[in-house]
Amino acid sequence: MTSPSQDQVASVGHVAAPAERPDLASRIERARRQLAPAKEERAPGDGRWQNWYSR
Amino acid sequence: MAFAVLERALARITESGWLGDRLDIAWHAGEPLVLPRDYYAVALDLCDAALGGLTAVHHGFQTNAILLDHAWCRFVLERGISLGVSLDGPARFHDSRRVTRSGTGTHARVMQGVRLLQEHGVPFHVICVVGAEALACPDELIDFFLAHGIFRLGFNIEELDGVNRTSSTVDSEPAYRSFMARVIERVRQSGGTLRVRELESMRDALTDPGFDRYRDNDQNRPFAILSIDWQGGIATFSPELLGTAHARYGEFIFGNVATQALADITTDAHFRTVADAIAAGVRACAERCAYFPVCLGGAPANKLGELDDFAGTETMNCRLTQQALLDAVLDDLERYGAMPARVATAGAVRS
Repeated sequence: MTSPSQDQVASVGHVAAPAERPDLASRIERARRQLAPAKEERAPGDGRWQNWYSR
Repeated sequence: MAFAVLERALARITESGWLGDRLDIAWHAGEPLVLPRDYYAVALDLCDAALGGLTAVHHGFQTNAILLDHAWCRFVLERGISLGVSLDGPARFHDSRRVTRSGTGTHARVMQGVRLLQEHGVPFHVICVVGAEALACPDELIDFFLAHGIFRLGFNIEELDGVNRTSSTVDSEPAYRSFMARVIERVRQSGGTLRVRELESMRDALTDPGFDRYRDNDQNRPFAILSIDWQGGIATFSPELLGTAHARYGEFIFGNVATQALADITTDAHFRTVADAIAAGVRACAERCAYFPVCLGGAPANKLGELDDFAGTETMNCRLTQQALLDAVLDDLERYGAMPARVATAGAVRS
């Protein structure tokens, strides 16, 4: 489901920027660049099962 | 859940105006197959009637597979239900915690259900709860699943949340890191046949077009997840909160579909107290944690279970399922590069 608008539920907005940790941030950025082409090759709807919230 | 309660719940959902383009309905938190197929035939029809045309509806059962028979397999296939089987690997792990009321292990009966699913060609995945002992044995777990034609796995680390007040995996971060590193190696070695939810979820997070713009996740965004109990009680945030209570916050039922619209709940004082505390926790995570862009504020149920406070930040669940997992994925990528994309094949949907 979507959520109520922020004026209905003022909750998570206005967060500060994450603490700067260039090492992890740059590793993440490199990973994102590496993974981007592979993502496009995936079949539509392929990730459906993994989004399951279950025990 | 009586049909009248289900109909009220569906009406509350549609009138909220909060439906997205897809709604996943998970029948879980208790064995769903104890109810007869006829019940679900009607229930799914009610869902289709209420939601058809408004959103894409997908149903899922999380089951112990013990009650499966040929008719159930046909039903699951016909209705396109996603099926997850709770199976903790070999009998020595599974039977140590999953037992009948008489104390007998259920492994053999679960495997009987698995064989039935395979016989009927029903796609399914397995949710495997990993305790401290299994954490040291990733190869034994994966060898077991592969040997039984099970290729889609999710590993739930035994954790502190909701009703689970103890865990065998407290302080097991080094073991979890080793476990996931080995799991990643095995996924690579499988050439894409073996699929692990945690790795695919992390890959999805890293490649999401909205990466760096998201400010929260489904567990801490009000009503992104809606949990409704059999009596129509309404809960949201982490599903594990449903059915639990806390000295400071009370019960996590914020209303009932019989008497309250979802929008009414957003102004309820009890709900506001919980929502504000969860939001404070997310803000604190955003300010302090370098892993925030991936985890987006953690899981409220785990914060409450481990820290006794929604407004807290880092938990064991964070350290394992977010930090250690991301570190393992990054280590692997830096060492070997991106894995070839897995293309859906008949073989890969066998489990």
